[in-house]
Amino acid sequence: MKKLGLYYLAVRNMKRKMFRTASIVLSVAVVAGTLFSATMVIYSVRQSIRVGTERLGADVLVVPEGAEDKARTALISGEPSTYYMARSVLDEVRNVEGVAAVTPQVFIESSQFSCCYVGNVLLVGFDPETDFSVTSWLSDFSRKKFGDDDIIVGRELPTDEGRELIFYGHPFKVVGVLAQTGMSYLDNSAFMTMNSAYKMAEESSKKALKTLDVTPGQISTVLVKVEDGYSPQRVAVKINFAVSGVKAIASNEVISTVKEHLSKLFAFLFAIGGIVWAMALLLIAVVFSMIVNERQREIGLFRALGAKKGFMFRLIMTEAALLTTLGGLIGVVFGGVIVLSFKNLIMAKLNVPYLWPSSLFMVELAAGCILIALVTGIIAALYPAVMSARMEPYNAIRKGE
Amino acid sequence: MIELKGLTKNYKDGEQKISAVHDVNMKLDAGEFVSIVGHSGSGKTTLLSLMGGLTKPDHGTVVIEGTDIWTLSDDALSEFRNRNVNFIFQFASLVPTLTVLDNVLLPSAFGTCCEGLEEYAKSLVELVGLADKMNTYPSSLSGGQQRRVAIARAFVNSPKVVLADEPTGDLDEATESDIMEIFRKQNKGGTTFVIVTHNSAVAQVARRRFNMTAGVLQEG
Repeated sequence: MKKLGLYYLAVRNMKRKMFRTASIVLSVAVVAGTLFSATMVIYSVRQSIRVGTERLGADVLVVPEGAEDKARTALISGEPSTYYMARSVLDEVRNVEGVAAVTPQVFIESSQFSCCYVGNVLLVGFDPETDFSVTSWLSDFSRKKFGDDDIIVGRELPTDEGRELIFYGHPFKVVGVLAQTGMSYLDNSAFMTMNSAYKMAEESSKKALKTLDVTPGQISTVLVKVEDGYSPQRVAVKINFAVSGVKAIASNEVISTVKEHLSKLFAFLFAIGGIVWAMALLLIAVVFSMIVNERQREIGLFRALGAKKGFMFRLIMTEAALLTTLGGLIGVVFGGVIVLSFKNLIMAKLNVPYLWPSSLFMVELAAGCILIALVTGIIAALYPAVMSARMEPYNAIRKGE
Repeated sequence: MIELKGLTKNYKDGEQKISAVHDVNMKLDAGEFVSIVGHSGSGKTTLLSLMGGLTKPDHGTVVIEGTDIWTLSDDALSEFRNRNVNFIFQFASLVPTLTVLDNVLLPSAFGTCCEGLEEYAKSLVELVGLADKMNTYPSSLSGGQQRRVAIARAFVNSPKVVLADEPTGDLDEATESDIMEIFRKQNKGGTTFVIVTHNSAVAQVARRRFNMTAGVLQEG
């Protein structure tokens, strides 16, 4: 037995005026797509910075005075940059109150990697004896095994464990590949011992086309772990006060910097999204008011044939819910496809790190966006639905004539 | 079976009060065939709407099968209409997005449903001579064909009462004759008919005839 029901009638109504249906679906899709893609980008950038700073393992970074912006840029966007200070800073920082551990790193000028890799690689020299950053990323890492000709590489470098890499004429053996973080500083860098870095620099005048100007007395940064009970910001202030010629940055400040960097953009995006949402809400409300007005005689007919007020209310609400859910679904799919397709371009333009969110997060976000689309439809159609339910059958028939 | 007592309905047109139906009393037995004639604006359609529970009277009662329909809640009244009453309106009252068969089955969307209803609906479509149009949409039908579909729908819930407003208004004589024949057959099956018409030929088919003038109903 064929049973005509609420959904059947609502779907048939949706097909009545395809242009109008498509307009509503499209407007909701724009809202849902904007919300989905913007939220995904924001979440991913934050997640990436969080993972990156966690991986960095340092609570405070100490860099030469005047190089703090370069350091932030290097950490956030991975843009290779070099700056140096005297190694003696290491001992001075170690003696500051609240400092639990320090380890030095030296950055070597970027290098074109191999024959086929077009990106720049930041070469980072670290001290395996005191390091609490690089080696902690590798679960099976043994300090004793990590020799002067060994190298650990970020995920983005096109190589595998066991292969040989040559930088400035110095051969290195890849002993570890780091997990993806989304931060270019970690994903596009190669980490070697400080001895190797100095040796490579020394040999560069003979073995490489370009001579490196780095001496064993120079370091680029000091990574600091603070003692329990001290905040990174407080220790950073103490270092800035106690050690001259350096700038200490709490690593969580990096997140703040990115937030500041992006807050205006995201505020603009959300403002646009909010305006589009309000317009979509208004459009749906107006269209459904028109629909109810146009279908007055039909509403009267339905009521005459036995439809209850609740049925008329649910019919309009179901139609709105189906349209907006469909719009939400389409928006989420298109938003996801756009972010996925233009991920690199977006990140390059924004100059921020990016870590693709987990599937679970994306599913939850998609469900949330579709739910918002659905709620939008419900809110917008509420008044027209109530009006359709309240119509007296005879009046509806007469007014519709 | 149907009893109207002191039925009154007034409308306001600005400051002016218009008496559409005034103190109407009528008693019909089950299976009667009644016609109401009168000029345009005499209150015929309003009376039909009051009888069918589509608009609430200012005064008076409508009792159908022992139920005073205007004492029912809105939902109960809707259910009552769905089970006991059906309408044939003046206008082409088909849903454009539904096929002929779906239009005939429309009352089932609101409650009336039982085994074999679809087969019954098909037999009604055949009865009105549109067997080959079962899955056609209203936009492909002529005015007369649309009217036949509306008539088929009026019987799908096996109503005790059919209230028809100008059921043959825009039809040619042959179609009008066919439709009146269908009414006669359904009436023989026990369905009560109240037909509002301008057409004296249609009115003559009725066993009881009423005249309506300025909201006042008189038999004869």
